Amino acid sequence: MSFRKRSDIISGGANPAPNRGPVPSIPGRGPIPSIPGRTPVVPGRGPIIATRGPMVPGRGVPVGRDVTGGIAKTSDETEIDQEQEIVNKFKEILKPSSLNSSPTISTGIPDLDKLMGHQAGMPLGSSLLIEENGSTDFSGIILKSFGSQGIIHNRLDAQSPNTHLVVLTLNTNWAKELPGLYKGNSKQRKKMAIKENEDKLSVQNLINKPDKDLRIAWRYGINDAKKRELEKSAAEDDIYKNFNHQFDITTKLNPLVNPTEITYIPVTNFAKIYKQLLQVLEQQKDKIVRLIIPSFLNPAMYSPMLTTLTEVLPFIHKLKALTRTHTNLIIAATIPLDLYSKDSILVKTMESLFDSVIQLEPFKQDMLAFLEKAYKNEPTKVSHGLVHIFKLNSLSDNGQMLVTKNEYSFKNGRKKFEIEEWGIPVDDEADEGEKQTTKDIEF
Amino acid sequence: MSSQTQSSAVLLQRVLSLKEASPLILVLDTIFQSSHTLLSEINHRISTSHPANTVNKQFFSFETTALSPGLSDFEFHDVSCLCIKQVIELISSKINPSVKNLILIDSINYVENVHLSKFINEIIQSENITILTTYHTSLPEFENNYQSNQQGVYPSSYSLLTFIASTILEILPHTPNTHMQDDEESLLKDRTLLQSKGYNNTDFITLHLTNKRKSGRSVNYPFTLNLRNHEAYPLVKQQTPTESDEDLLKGLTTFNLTTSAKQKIVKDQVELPYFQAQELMGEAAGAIVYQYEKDDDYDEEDPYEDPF
Amino acid sequence: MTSQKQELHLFSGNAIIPHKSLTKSHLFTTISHVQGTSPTWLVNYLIDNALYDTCLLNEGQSTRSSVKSGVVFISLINDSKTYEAGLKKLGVDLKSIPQFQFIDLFTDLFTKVQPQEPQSIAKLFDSEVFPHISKTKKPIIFIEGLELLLLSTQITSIQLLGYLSQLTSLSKSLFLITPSDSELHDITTINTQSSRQHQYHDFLIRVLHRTNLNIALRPLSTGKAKDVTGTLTISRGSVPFEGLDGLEILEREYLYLVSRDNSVKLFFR
Repeated sequence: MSFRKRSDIISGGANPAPNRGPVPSIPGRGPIPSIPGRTPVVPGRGPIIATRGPMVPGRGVPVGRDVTGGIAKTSDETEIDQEQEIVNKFKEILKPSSLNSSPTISTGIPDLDKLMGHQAGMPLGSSLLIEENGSTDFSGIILKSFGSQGIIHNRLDAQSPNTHLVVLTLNTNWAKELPGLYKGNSKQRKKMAIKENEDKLSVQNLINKPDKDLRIAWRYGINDAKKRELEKSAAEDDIYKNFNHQFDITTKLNPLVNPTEITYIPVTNFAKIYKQLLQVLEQQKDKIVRLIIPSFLNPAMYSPMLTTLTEVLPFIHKLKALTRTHTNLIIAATIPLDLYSKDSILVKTMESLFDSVIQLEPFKQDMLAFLEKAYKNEPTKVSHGLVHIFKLNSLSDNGQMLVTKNEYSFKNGRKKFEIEEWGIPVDDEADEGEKQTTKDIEF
Repeated sequence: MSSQTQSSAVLLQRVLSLKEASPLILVLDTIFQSSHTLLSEINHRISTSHPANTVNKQFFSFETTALSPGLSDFEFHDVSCLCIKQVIELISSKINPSVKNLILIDSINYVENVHLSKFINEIIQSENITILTTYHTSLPEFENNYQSNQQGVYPSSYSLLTFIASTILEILPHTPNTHMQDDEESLLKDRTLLQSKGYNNTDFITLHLTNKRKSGRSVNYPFTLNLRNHEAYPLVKQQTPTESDEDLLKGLTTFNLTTSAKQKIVKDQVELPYFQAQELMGEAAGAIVYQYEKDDDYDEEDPYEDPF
Repeated sequence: MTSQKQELHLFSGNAIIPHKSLTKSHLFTTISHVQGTSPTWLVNYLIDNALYDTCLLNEGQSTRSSVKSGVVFISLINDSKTYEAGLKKLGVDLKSIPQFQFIDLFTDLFTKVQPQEPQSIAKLFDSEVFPHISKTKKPIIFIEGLELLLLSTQITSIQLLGYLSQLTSLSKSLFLITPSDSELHDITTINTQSSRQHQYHDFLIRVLHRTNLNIALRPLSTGKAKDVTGTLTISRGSVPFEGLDGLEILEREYLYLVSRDNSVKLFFR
């Protein structure tokens, strides 16, 4: 299991594991990556088996935090220009698209944000479908980061919560698995600890009123060398410093997601789900609503009756309509391709109704073994699968041909879920001087 | 041969101008060459060979929403919203028993398989009625409820119509080499569906005429139809003598056109000039024939040097 | 392939939508596309051309004068903002043109349509569509997303064609924008056949027997390319179009490129 050191960081800033080796490699990565707390071989993958031990002790739901205040206060402003209003209101967490300057928000995975083509994130009022082959659940990790990002946004200013999560699932423990913020590698964490000590900040303080300086420090942690060329100037970075964050999937979001921050909509029938969704949207209309649909149509949650074209397509169409009438809504859904073939009318039409569609195709075991062998000395270079792009928000709709297969790969590391250009090891050898050394050692 | 082509052209003219009694003329078309041009052609031929107002032309449409210019003297009825019973009633009410009646139905694909036989029989009540109808063969017939309930014993619309029809006009795109039919399956796939250029030619079409004679005989002639000058050219099959020709003739003739085994042997024994060269020097089979020439350098010491 | 930029013509005489001929004959066109070749850019240009007989892709066709024809756009998959934004980039403010009408069947389609009840679709057309189309001055109608009804309700292809027929008779020209992904209609693959696939295949073939003109947008068979988005094919439909002055459809194949800034270039293939 790759995530065995989970406990390390849970104790967070208070006691960062000092004995971490300098190389942030992932030891003992198994060939079939899986989600913490889930059995690797998953025939009936679903929320049922997602039960895990009691949540991290010592960090309860924050007390004295008035989240409900935010819900109660409804803006009476007439919705002349909903979009402009939202942009003004959520300036801090949004970033304009480089294409059409429409506001975008982070998916919680910086590399995925980049992939979305706006040099920012995912446009507000849009939807993302993540398809996944096999019985792995990498797409679930994306959804969890998507959720964590929302919660982090929500907690930026305790006085005005800005985000609400809506999860369509039967698993009411879903939010307990949301990853916490990535706090840099061991060196950075050490530095931070020193700083912390100097400032004499207690952990409690740190969470309740997030320290801006610290946040910047984290950002710098993200911007390590090879990413630097993609980053904008430091000034711009500062403006959008709250746009996205990096999550450490070995940690838990801390404090836990508060019931006021999330609404679970149980999978019943689509009419009822839609009605509940409308209610939430009405209650949360002054917040960004992140609708999360894990493992859509998974038989563990959805009865056969619900998987017919006449049930699914109208529902997805309604969701699309909602994203157009509610600029504050963003949707991320995942669907298991092994159960619903990509050649089917169902998936094809769903794809046409979602704004962005990507597919994760995890490598088979022998491919992983090959990669592990090829990157013997650099285990961090081992990708876990391919990312295919089928549609990207607004670009595809405008007529650009963006169907790209086998051009990107993903890697689910401890510190982040990375998406990068895919090259088979042999190609890399020729391309990157960096790797040449590795090969030299081998021969 | 020429008399046959002559008669085929005459037959086509008689069929297309309604001179030949035929209760049901079935036009088979595809999305690659539609029947619209042929229908105009038929109307042109009828108009030029019949005095005005001696043919009652009625157009019943499930498909097209307006008459094309070539059919402007038809009376147009949109029947797409009517049930089959109403359509039959409407058609019957429009028949004029004192003149020839041409009932054009566009297209018969819209009549459900189970109603088809009844539909046609109820219209053809008298001698002077001709139904001219198009059947799109590009449209696949999916098993309908009736068929699946009855274990699929009821014939398909295509078999039904080609069985009932007294004349069948099959339209093919006019292409010099007719590989067309083989490709049709693949053409219907997306790569080419909706984006195949060069079809639906309005100047030339290829037409296969099948006419069931009163004698019980069925004749089949292919034509190329020039729609600009309204002329038909019988297509003469290129008689290329091939091996399959031999097979074709086998058992059909009382005399022998093929070569017998003995004849084949004799034929093979015919001596061809290049054999002589071989005989001269290559008596020993497989031997390398080498004649020593004066410029060649002969090395006595070499044990392997032995030209003989 | 010539690298020179080409102009878009559908008919002889440099015409795109042949406004004059439409007084005489009806023009029925399909615009088919697959995943990856969204036709929105083309539709934007065609709306402009339908309204003003202008086309920014072509030289000397960029000055707009009076509105030449009413345009009704019916969409089941997009709201009006999509096209308002697209045409704004071409310099057309759709909101200020009274002759342009957007019939939004998208926003609450499935609150009005019950998938199990075909009558609800009839009601939708009878109340939301047909009464809003001018009977006196026939418009040019665009409709997109109609396939959604076929795929997600119990309606048959023939019933759906009935609505299309009515739209045809209400318009002087009809553009049907429809996907042609093989997954939706390819009946030659056996593994995923469903009755809806049959219905959609049936629908497409029947439509093809009614069209005058087919425009197809497809990606290159070799996949994504930096300098080419896809191919645009113009081909004759089953029904011959009888235009004025011997107007003919120009069968052609273009390569086209939609850039990141949404500018479009055409090249002959």
